[in-house]
Amino acid sequence: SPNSDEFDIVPVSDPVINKCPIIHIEHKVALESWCVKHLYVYCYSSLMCWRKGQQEAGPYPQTQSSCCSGPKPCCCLTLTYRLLGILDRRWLLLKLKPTDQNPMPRNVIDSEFDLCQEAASRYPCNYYAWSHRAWVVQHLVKDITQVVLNDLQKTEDWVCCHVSDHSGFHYRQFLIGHLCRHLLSVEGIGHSSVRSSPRSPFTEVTGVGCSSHPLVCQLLGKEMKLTSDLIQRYPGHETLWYHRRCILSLVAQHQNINLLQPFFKRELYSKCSKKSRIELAHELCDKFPCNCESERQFVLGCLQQDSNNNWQKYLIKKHTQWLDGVLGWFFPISMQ
Amino acid sequence: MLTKDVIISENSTKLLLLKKHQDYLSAYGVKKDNYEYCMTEYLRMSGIYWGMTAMDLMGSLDLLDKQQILDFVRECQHVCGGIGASKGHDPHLLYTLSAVQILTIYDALDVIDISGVVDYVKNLQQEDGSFYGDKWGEVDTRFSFCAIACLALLGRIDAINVDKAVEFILSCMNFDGGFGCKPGSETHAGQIYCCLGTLAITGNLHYVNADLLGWWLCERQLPSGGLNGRPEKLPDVCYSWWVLSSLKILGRLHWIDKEKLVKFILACQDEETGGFADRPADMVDPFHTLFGLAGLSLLGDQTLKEVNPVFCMPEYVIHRLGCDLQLLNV
Repeated sequence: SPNSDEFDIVPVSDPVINKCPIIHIEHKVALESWCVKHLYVYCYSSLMCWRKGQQEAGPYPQTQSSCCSGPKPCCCLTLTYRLLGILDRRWLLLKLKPTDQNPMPRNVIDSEFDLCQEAASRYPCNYYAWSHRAWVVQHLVKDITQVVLNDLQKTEDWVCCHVSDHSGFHYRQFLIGHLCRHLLSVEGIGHSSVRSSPRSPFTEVTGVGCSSHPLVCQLLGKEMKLTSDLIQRYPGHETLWYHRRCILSLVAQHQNINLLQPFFKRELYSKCSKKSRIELAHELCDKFPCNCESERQFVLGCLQQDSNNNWQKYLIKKHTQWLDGVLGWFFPISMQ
Repeated sequence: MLTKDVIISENSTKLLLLKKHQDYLSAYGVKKDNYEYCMTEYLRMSGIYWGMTAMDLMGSLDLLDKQQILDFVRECQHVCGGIGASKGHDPHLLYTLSAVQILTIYDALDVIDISGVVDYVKNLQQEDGSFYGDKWGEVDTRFSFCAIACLALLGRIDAINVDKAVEFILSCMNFDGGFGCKPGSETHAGQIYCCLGTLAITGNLHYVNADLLGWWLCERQLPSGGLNGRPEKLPDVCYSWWVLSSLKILGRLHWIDKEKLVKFILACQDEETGGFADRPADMVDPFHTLFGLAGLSLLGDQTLKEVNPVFCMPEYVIHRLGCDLQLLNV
C-alpha cells in the first residue's frame, strides 16, 4: 500500500501454518522473523547477480525486496537515513562542507550529538558513537569554546548516570583537551610548541603547557571535584579512577610537571632508600601545590570509607602505583 | 564486586584440543549456501586468513585446498589493484592485507598483480599521513597498519610517505600511552596493536612510553585471568592476541600472569565441536580460534609453531621473507 508508514519484524520463530510471512494491518507492514534468513540469502544472491550485470528485471531489484523495509519511496528513504551507519553519515556531513563563512547549522550538530547519546545509552562503552561525536567537534564545529562548554555541561549529567562508561568519560577528556588547544591557538600562547611533532606526540594530544589560562584552571578544578565526588559516591568503578588519572595528568601538565620524567628517573628512584624516596616526593609536592598531599588525603579517605570493599581497595592500590610511576607522587599507605 | 568478569568452572578444559580444532576449521565453509555463511561473506578473505594461519600454527596447513584458495584470491582482485572480501565485493585495505598474508604464507605472491596492490595502497594515503580504508574515505589507525603491513610483506614500504604515516599514528596517542582509531579517540587494545605494529615495522618504537603503555596493557588482565580490550569490558579471547602481542612488541610479556591467562584461553574451547569462543560456553568461530591459538603460541605452547607478534603469521614465514622488525627488550 502506498500509505504504509511503519515496518517491523515480529518474533515468530517457526512458521506455524503454511501461510505468507507478511503481515499487513491497516498501514503497518511486518515480517515474521523466521523468513528473514531465507529472504536475506535470496536478496544477497540477487544483489550479486545484479552486480555481475546479469540483471533482467531492471535496476536494483534488491532494493525493492530489501524494502520490505520501506513500502513507499520516501518512507524507504527516511528509514534508510535512520539506518545509515556512522561511516555513511560522516561522508554525507563532509559533503555539506562547512566553512568559516558558512558554518554547519547548529541543529545539524545538535542532532548528531543527540544521535550519539541515544546510541551510547543503548550500548555501554559505545566506541563508535563517542568517536563520532568527537569527530563532529573536530570537523564541523567552528564556535569551539561555546560548543565545548555546552557539551561538557550536557555530558556531565549523562556520565553521572553511567559511571562505568569509560567511553563517555573519555569523551569529556577529549573535550577538555580540545578546548585547551583551542584557547592556546587563539591566544597564540606557545603556539609553535603545541604543533604536532613526532618528538612530543603527548603535547599535541593533551595540550601541554596550557600556562595559566583562567578557564582551563577552572575547568580542571571542576573536573577534579567531579571525579572525587563520583568515586566517593560510587566506590568500585574502574572508569572513575581512570578519569581521575587523566585529569591529574592534565593538572600536572598545567603545572609544567614533566610527566615522562618519573619513569625515566625510575632507576635512580629504585636506588634511593624508602626514606629518601619520601623526601624526594615531598620536595616535589612543595614545588607543585597540586598536589601530592591532597591526593594522599583523598586516597586515605576512600580507604577508610570503603574498608570492606576489596575491589575498591584493589583499585586504590593501582592508583597509588600509578601516581608513583607517572607523577612521581609516592606515599606509602597501609592497605589493612 | 563490580568487576565485569567471568568465572572459570573447575571442570573446564585444561588440554589444548588440537585435533578438534583442525577438524572444525577444515569443515568450516563446506556448506556454502546457508544463512551463516552468507552473513559472513563480507569478510570471507579475512576468514580464510584466520583459518589458514591457525591451521599452519597447528602444523596442518596441508589439510586445506591450496589451489582453490589461490584461485579465490586471484578472482577477488580488482582492476584498481585492491582486493575485496569475496568475488564481486568492493576492494578494501582490510581484505587486501588478508589476501597478501594468505599469499605470503603460501609463498605465491605472483598469483596477483603486485604492482597493482602497491598502487592501490599508495593512493589511499592522505596528506596528513593517514590512510583511507577504501575510496569512501573512512580514516582509522587500523588502516595505517593494513597499508604498512601489506607493503612490508611485499617489500615495497618505499612506495609511501613513511614519516607522515608515523606522524599520524603518533597524533593518535593518548595520555595513558595508548592509541585510538583517530586523533582524540579512546585508547583501545586493538588499535594499540595496530599502532605498535606500524611503529615496529618502520623502526619508530622509541616514540612510545613503553612502561606507561605496558602498565595500561597489564591492567587489562582480570581476576579470571582473561584480558579485556578497554576498562570495564568483559574478557575476550581475541585480546589474548591484541594485548599480548603488544606486550611482546614492547618486550614486557612477562608483566602479566601467564598461567591464569592460559587457563582462561583453554576454557574457551568447545570440547565437542572444536574451535574457540570469545568466552567460556559461547559460540566458536574462526576469528577467536586463530587468536586463541596465536595467544597460546606467544605464551610459549610447544605444540604450536611460533607466531610473529607484528604480522600474526607463523614466524618461519616472516623469517623466510627476511622482513626486518624492531622489537623492544627490557
